[in-house]
Amino acid sequence: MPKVTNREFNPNFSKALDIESLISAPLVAVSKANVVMAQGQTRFLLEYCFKKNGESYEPILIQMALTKPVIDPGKAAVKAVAASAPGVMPVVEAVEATPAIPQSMQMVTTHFTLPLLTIVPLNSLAVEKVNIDFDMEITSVASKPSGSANESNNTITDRKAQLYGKVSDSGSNSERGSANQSKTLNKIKINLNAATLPLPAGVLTIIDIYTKSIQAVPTENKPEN
Amino acid sequence: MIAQSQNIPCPVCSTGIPFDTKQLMMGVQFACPNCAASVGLAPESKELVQETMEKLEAAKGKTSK
Ligand SMILES: [Zn+2]
Repeated sequence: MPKVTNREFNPNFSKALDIESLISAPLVAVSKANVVMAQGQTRFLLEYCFKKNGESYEPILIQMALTKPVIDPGKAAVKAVAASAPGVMPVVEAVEATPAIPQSMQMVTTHFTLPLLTIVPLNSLAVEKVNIDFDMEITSVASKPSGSANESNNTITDRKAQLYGKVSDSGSNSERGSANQSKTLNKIKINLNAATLPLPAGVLTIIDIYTKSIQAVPTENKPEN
Repeated sequence: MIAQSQNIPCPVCSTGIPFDTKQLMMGVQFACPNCAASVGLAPESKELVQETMEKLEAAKGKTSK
C-alpha cells in the first residue's frame, strides 16, 4: 500500500483540532493519492502500452497462442500409387496391415494479437482500501453560527455544534478549556473505511474496446501436414 | 497487493477467460470455462510483457515514495 504524506495533515498531537479536519485530512490525502496514481496510470499507458505514430497513439500488440482441439478426419491405410506409364491403370498398394486411422482429436495452436494494455494489471496501482482507526479525545465543544443565518436584527441565530479534540494517547486527559467551551473528557472511537475507486471510466473504455477487438477471427496457422 | 481479476474474451466463444499476468508470463495456459479452448502468451511476446511488468513494478514503487 503506497504511503501518502499530505502537507495539510500534519497533526500536532498535543493540540486540540477541529474534529472535521481530523477526520477529513486522511481522506483528502487518500483522494490525492488516487489522483496521483490515476495520472501515473495514464502516463504508464501512453509510455509503455502505446507507441506514438505521428499525431496518434497506436497500441503495442503482443502475440497470444490459442490452443483448441480440432477433429482430424480419418485417413485410409492404403494410398494410391501413380500410374507407372501413361495408359497403365494405377495400382493401389497396401501400406501397412494397420486399419484405417480413425478420426482423432488434435490440439491446434493458432495465434492472435492482443493489445499489451489488456493484460497489464493496472488496477493494482490504485489504493485498495484505507483503514484509519484512532481514538479521539473530545477536549471541548464550541458552537458557531451556522452559515445560513441571516444578518437580521433577530437575536436568535442558528448555531452549529463544533467538536474539538485531539488524537488520544492512552489515558492522559487534557485540561484545556476556554471561554464559550464546556469542558468534556469524552473519548470517541473513529473508524473510517474507504474503498477503492475503480479505474477511471476513460481508461476502462479504452481497455474494453481493445479487449473486444480480439473477437475478430484469428489468423489460423496452416497445419504442417 | 492482489490485482483485481482480469479477463480476456475467448476468441472462439467470447466467454471471459480469467487469467493472471504473472502466471501468463510463466507459460501457463488459461482454459475457457465454456469451450475447450485455452489461451497463453506466445513465447515471442514473453520478453515484452516481462519488461512491461518490471516497469509497472517500478512505477508502483515510485508512486509509493
Ligand atoms: Zn471459449
